[in-house]
Amino acid sequence: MAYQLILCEKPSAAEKISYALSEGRVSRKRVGAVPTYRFKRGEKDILVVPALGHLYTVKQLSTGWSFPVFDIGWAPISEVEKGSRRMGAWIATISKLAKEADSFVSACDFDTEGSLIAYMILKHACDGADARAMRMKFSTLTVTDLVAAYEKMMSTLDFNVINAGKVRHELDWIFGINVSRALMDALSRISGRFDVLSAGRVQSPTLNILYKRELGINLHVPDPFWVIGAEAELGGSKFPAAYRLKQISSQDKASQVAARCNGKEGVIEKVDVKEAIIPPPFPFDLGTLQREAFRVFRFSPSTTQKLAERLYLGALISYPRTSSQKLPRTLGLRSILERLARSTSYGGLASEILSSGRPLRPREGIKTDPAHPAIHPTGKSPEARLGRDEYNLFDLIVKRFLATFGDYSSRKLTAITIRCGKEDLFMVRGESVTSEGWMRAYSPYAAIRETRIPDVRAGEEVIMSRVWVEDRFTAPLPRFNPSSILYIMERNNLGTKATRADILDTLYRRKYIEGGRIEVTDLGMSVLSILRKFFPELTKVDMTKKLGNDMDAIELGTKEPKEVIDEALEELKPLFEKIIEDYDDIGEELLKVMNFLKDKKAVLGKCPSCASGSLTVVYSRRTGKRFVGCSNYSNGCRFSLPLPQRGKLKATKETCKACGLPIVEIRGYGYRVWRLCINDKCPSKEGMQLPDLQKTK
Amino acid sequence: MTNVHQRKECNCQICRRPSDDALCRYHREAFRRLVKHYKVWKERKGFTWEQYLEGISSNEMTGAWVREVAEYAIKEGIREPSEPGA
Repeated sequence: MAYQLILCEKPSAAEKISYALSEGRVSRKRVGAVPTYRFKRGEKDILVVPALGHLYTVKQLSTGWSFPVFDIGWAPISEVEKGSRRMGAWIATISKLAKEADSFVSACDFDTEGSLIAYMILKHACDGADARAMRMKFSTLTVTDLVAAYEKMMSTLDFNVINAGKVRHELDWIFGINVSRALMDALSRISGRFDVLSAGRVQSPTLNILYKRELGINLHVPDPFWVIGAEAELGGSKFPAAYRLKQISSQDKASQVAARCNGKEGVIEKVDVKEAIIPPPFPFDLGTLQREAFRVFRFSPSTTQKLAERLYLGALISYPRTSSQKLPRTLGLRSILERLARSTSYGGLASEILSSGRPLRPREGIKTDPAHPAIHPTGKSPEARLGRDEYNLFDLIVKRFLATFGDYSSRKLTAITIRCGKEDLFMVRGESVTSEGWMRAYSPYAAIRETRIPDVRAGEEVIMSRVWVEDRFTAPLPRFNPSSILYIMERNNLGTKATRADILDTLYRRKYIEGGRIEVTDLGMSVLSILRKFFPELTKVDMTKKLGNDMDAIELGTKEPKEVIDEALEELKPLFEKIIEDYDDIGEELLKVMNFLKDKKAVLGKCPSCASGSLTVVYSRRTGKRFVGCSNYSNGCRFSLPLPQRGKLKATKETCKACGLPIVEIRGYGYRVWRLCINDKCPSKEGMQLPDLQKTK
Repeated sequence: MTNVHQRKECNCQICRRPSDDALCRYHREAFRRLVKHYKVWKERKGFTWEQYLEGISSNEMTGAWVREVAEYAIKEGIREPSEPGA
């Protein structure tokens, strides 16, 4: 008997959708490796089949490793990526199941990627069913939302969104593959060596932003200046006081201020009291959730995204890949709050909002998303115990949602101006919360800082109990962290809400950047400086930003996909022609850089004997054994040290606390990484049992 | 005594990065800035060139390339250039 085939993005979503639409009467059966769910809804026979995310990808149509490549098409991932045969079998199963279907429904996540996943499968694996398929539109995986989405499904697929996704994938491929190939090919032609080097439409401008910050930090020259530190005694307690000038460029002048005011009496010239009103926060879009989760829990953006997706699949929160800061009434805010009111953790706060008697109007931001509302809880309590990180993120989302309904918070800000002598003014600032408002709901995530100062009046005398001079130096700009770079990417329209965290992960994976306070590595600096020299347009935000806007226009239906691709190719073709002209130069430059990096990797540290040479790992020509030697050997430095002969050796930036010589990492098969000082007579090694790396297999 | 702008070698004297000059472009720029800021230190702290280099190389806020170039200038005994950036 023919059935309706509902296609989902992932197995976990398929299960949720099946149970929601079948009201529990569902038969689960594996066809090959694919879990399928069959049930009746009214008279309709339904089969729910999951995908595994993207099953199709962009592929070069012609054969060979050429550059530049523009002839592209879509093919199963199993034909393109090694080790993805499972995907091929998955597609074959869907094809087989599609033969018995009389209608098709896409129930993939309602966004660009989800729409594209379903479209490709329906078009290629279901015999062109994309033309007659329907689309379920939902923002949460709750029963109510899913049933409503099924009952009111769209009669066609969302082709504008699909086209935008398709164009984005195709242009990313053309940019990424061509530039990466140009780099690798240029290097290989000149040197015969192969190194994986990559560049991308979004990746390169992002790396360029990090690179510029790295330059600013590494080239920073601190300038000296002086600040006046002071303490004023108010009502028997001491409070920090700020001098009227934040920086003083002369030490003498600063010392004169300290000498004039230290221990002297001052007079309160004026007392300014203001009330600061702090409105409730906006509900979360993905970017603000990622930034807030980093601020509060130090979760990386990709971790936050993964955790949020898990919460969404558990029907605990709405779809997280959204850029909306709106909570429309159609969401049923009252019923969400009523459900939350029944929970032990949020019952009190939710009940207060419901019983306040005011209309349920959350504070909203200006950002919108045509597909989804802001991230919000569904009101459902977790069925199983959540992991610690999942629970923390869930708690943050629920409390943020509740806070948006809260009252304004207010603070009393007091500024006391103290005159000491004729010319010296100091300021004591106080801050106290007069009304908690929304901050109570958002506790402990709202940052409440209080400095309560006693009530004083103008004309009262004050003792400047201590006034001193502090030496300071100008500081460089801070390093980006995953949260702040994500914000910059968002502001420059680099990548999409769904891809930004992945792009950052790629930069880490490629070893172009490292650390939580992001540092651009030597490899990242070198690749980027070559890109800036030979492909400057690709490192600038403008081109990528324009394409981002074009894709938004495709999604809105105001621009044709072909027009966007043609325009992009028109810009890219002359660029690639120039690359071909510069091929030898690029290759030579890359070779120099790669050799430099190789040499640098081999340097362990400075030679303690001659002080000017570098200690490197040297292999004996006679025995083939390795040892530490000095790069000044040819100039007469004979410093050397033995090294373990087995295990993979890696230099670290650290030096031994006991003897000051470099520390290396040695990884032997089956052993954990061993960190040891290269000095065989180091005092830290007395009585130490070293692993017998010789015996490892 | 060495003048960093006269040497013609293939690698930076400080980091061994490929370069057409004695210093790579990063260390060249760091040297230019080092010289430029000396005026501020001289005026505010009354430091000699040598004291300035010591101060810069031991300062926590100093950028890595500027520190390296200051240490290099101390080691090579590079005197204060007559004109900033000369």
